[in-house]
Amino acid sequence: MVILQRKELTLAERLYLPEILRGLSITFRKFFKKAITRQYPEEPLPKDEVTRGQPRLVVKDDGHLACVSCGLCEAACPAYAITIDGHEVDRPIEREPERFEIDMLRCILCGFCEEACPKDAIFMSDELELADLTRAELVYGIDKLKRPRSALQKRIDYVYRINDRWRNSSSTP
Amino acid sequence: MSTSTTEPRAAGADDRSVVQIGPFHPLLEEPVGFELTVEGERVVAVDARMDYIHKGIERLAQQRTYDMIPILLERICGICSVTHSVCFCNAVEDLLGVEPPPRARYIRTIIGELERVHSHLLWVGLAGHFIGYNTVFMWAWKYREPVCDVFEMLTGHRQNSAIPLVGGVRRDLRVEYLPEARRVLDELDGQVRMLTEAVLDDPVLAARLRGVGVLTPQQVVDYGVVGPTARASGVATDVRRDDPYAAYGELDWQVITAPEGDVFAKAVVRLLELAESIKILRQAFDRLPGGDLSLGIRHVPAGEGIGRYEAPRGEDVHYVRSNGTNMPERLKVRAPSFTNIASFQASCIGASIADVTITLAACDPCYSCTERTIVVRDAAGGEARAVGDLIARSQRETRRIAAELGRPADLVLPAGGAR
Repeated sequence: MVILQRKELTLAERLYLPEILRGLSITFRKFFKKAITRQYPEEPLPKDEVTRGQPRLVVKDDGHLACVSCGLCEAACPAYAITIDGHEVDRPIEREPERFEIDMLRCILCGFCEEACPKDAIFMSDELELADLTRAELVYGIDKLKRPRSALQKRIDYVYRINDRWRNSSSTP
Repeated sequence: MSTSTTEPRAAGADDRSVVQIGPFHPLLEEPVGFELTVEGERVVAVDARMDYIHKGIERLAQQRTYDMIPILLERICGICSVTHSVCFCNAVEDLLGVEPPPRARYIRTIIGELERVHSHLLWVGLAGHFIGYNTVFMWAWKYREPVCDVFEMLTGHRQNSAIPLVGGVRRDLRVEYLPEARRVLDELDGQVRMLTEAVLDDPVLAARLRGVGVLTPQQVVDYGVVGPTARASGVATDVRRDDPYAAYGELDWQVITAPEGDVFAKAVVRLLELAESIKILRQAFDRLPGGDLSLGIRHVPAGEGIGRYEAPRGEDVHYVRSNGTNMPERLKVRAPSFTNIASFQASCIGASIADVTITLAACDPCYSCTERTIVVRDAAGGEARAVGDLIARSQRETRRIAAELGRPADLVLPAGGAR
């Protein structure tokens, strides 16, 4: 138990009204300030090229996936979320995925797949919302994962930029 | 150490009863059970029951490669994600006998201090909430939000940076954002100063928290308490100064201590540490050197390594044993809360129930960090799972393993059992 001595109030403080008005003036001023709360579902979250959202597959301008189903992302994934089955095709790239599944319930959005990919075929998008009614629906196949290159362009540019910086890192600060 | 409810009651203690706090309780952010034995309003014994949120992460880590483990260890704790992954990197670098390049060390310092800032603000808010002072809760968390945003804009995620890597860092920070981060820090500096003054001058907080849950320096040493909880009792222990890792040895900052040892002192230490963290961050932003991000470690030879890291809650220790493969043979995590939780035996006895609730929260316990084992009570054998039993069991096992391995005697604990 601590006994505290209250300080003596001045006349203005004892009059009560001036202090009330002083307090209310703060309240009224807050009406005209920008609200600090975000009305989340209606108001989108701040996103940027740096945001690591869910991984998405790049569809090249010719309409085919950039993925050659090499399996490097599958091996790099710390959460074992990726499953790939590949098959051979007649196009010059020779292989493409027959099945490319990411279990979004396992995915931890670490960005290893993006880093491992030698063909720039998988990138972290800025898509963050993830909800569904069944677990099976959350295992995303190619249909749900593919995005045109233009939709991921910002992230692709960013990844290229930081990788360039890494390559030349001894010269630039 | 533990007081079981089935023990025969001591003579003269007929008015004893047991109050359960948890496993689900508004006071606790995580499931953990506290059993307070009370005489009237006075607490005479405290026991904790854990293993509600055991995740088996150590075992999982032994099945992942060295590159994947820092990402996995970020998931040990919701708040100290950088802590565990950098601590693991420290341990493996100790095994290898290498030091990461300067830029990597500064990046680790920056993300580590950002984490400390948001963790301390989180605690100040929660402490306010626990004593029913929700204004403090709202304000502290309001200030925490921009810090999380800075963390996201520099690393790509609000909590889990995915940046630490054995021998350096995986990615660069988004340096284009550093001027904006500096502006947020300038703003935060004033806000933290205001919050500190408001808490220090508040007669209500002083009346509620002064003299509550006192830990004496002797008890701190006896229980091996670490972090702000120890520093609030005047014991100046800080891994960042005592055994500098990352870039702390090159920066100018102070270890904050307070002599009182009560909950109020713990709040003051954390608030003043916020100012120190902001100072460290500014220096790290200014001095961020160029150069390589990583040593590009390709192979970890057989051996043992120990990593230390000053988490927001105290000293974190990771032990790694490698057998030369790409996965560690053993990873042991000793989270700071493990020792801090045991100090409830000293700080809670003799207090009233209302004071115990805030004392339990005062060391900022993190139960998911602490739970490294699971012992299921078996009806026939009566295997116990109270903290005292677990400590005794772990000491017994340590002695057995030390004897088996024929290790030097300093690894063998004295036969006194749990203190």
